[in-house]
Amino acid sequence: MYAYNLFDQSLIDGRVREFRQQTERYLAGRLSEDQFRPLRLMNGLYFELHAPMLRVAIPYGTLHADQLRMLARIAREYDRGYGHFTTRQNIQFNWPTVEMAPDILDDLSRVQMHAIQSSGNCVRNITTDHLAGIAADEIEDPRPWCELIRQWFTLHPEFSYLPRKFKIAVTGSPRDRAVSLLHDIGLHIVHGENGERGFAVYAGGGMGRTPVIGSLIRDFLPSTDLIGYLEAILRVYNELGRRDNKHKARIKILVRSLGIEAFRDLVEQEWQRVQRDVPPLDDDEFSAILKRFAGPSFDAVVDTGDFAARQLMEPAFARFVEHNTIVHRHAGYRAVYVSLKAPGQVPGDLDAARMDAVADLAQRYSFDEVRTTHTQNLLLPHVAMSDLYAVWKVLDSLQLATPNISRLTDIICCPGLDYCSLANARSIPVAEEIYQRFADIDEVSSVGELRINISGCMNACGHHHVGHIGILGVEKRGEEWYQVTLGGSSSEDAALGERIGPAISRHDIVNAVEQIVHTYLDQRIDADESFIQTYRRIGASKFKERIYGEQA
Amino acid sequence: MANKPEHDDTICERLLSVDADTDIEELVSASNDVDRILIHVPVFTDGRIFSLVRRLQEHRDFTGKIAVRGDMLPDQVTLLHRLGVTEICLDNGLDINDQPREITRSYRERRIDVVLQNNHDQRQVNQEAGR
Ligand code: SF4
Repeated sequence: MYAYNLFDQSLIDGRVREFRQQTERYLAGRLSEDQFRPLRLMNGLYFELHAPMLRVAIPYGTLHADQLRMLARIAREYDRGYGHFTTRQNIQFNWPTVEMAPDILDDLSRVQMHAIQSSGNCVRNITTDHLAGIAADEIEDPRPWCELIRQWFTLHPEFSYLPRKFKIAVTGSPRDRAVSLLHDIGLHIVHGENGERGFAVYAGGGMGRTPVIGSLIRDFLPSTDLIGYLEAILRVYNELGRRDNKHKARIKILVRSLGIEAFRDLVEQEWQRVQRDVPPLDDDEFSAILKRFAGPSFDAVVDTGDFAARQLMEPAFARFVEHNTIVHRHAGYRAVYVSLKAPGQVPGDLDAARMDAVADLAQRYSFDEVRTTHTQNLLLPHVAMSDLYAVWKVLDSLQLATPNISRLTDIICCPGLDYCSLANARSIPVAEEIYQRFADIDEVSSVGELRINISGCMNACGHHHVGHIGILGVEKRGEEWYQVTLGGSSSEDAALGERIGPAISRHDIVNAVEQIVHTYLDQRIDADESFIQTYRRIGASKFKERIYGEQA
Repeated sequence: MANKPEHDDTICERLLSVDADTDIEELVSASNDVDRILIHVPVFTDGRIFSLVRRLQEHRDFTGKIAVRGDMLPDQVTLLHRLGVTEICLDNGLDINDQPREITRSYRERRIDVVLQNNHDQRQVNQEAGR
């Protein structure tokens, strides 16, 4: 995990003082609501349906135990005792007041945390693969690169008032677990034939009301040129992105209207200019960042203890191991998911007591580290296999061990009409009803890998476009209805789901999900063919028939 | 687009006055031999001004001054200062001095300082070696 140096700390300390004064000016009427808006958003503070909402940055989804404990404390002291983990690996608090925000930021700064650029029309939190440094297929750990980008675009004087928000994701594995193709910029670490380090650069992806899969604009960018090239992209966007219509202001619209070739040419031209001002990265600079990423010191040989025997004795533990843990690249360890998806639980929500408990587990069993995933779960990244049983016992007692990772009840879900002022429909109760309907864990297991994503409006915070089953809340004559899409994917084979027919009422939506699941079970060749594979093989018609009848 | 540069007898300089949404290419090509460019910012959320200023600074043939006037937040003045603008006037009634006294420095400036310092040090070393 990255440890701050003096400059990092002084920057966030200064920022807290700056924001405190900005808030005072607003409360004293020296800044209007409109004038305060971008200043507060750049510090993560929204004004939502019921109360302000504060989004705290979790850079590339990594936390240490004390940071999670601080989040727990904030939930307890300033909020209603819980926080909500988001699809961009951040956390949101739904109930602070404006006056509290500077105090919360002050508390966060004590544990090297902040809310800088977690909102606003600027470069947002850099997200990455939650299995960074763990996955066997990894080419290079993406996190130091995320940190480099984070630093460079923090308080960058040129890019703090962009046409719209700007999201960057970095992945270091061929398997894309960072949804990178649906980001304004997706960076894939690649190594050249002679071992040169670099990136494949994708631009113009995004969800929202106009979902687009990013296009490749450079297949190999030497890593020393990364910052300059990103600046060139951002400058082209800052100059030419639309500012007259909020819904057409993202870079994806610009890339589409210019065409990818013309966009690429503009970026290349700009890059020639930018290079005069931004010298290439030298090795020392990058090593300075690398040095601050102290990795865990794994035991060379790990005794797995009674790991195997326990699984034979306790099928529930065996199922947990199978579904909720991942083989670690370091022999003898596993990465363990903490499932925030259980009946009666809002997807991604976690109360303070359980945050503390997970922090304790991290400290004791996972080299002090916890991660957040874009699927709104947590991860204990490095647990020795001999400790897995003990970890499971604790998680199970906290209802954080539902063995459903990547299964149909591991639902990604935005806050929807329960919290969000932009929503058309509720999303949380739909997720809840799906849990109830699929409460039988054997059934969930037998269905295999299946991702259901729910958004309460077209802004798509719940990633519905890339759900294998996507559910989008719409409003018709004052009632909540839901549009269903099938076949979406957020991985390296990214695809946007296809709408299968007219919107479905609140009453029928979960029945429809059940019909879809049953259609899949009827149609799959065998249990090894996943939902998305079956869908790609047979298309939408069988699913449509089942839901809408013959007329479909 | 910009008015043609005009000679102003009173202040004896070539002044170019433009809006912040001016096409950058056109402005850059019109900026040669201009003493001062005055950029008007109609609305503070329009961040094009920051790229405009930086592009001008990067342009080798422009050696004049950049002045900015318009609807800006005092907090944004700092960003302009960082990009090298020294003359700024707010015309939206906000007090330019009503901003946090201590403004956070960004990583970008720090790196530029370090690079400049290194270049400077290198020059010294070279000079001493050549002596
Ligand atoms: S998708 Fe819509 S309803 Fe859901 S959180 Fe985003 S803006 Fe709100």
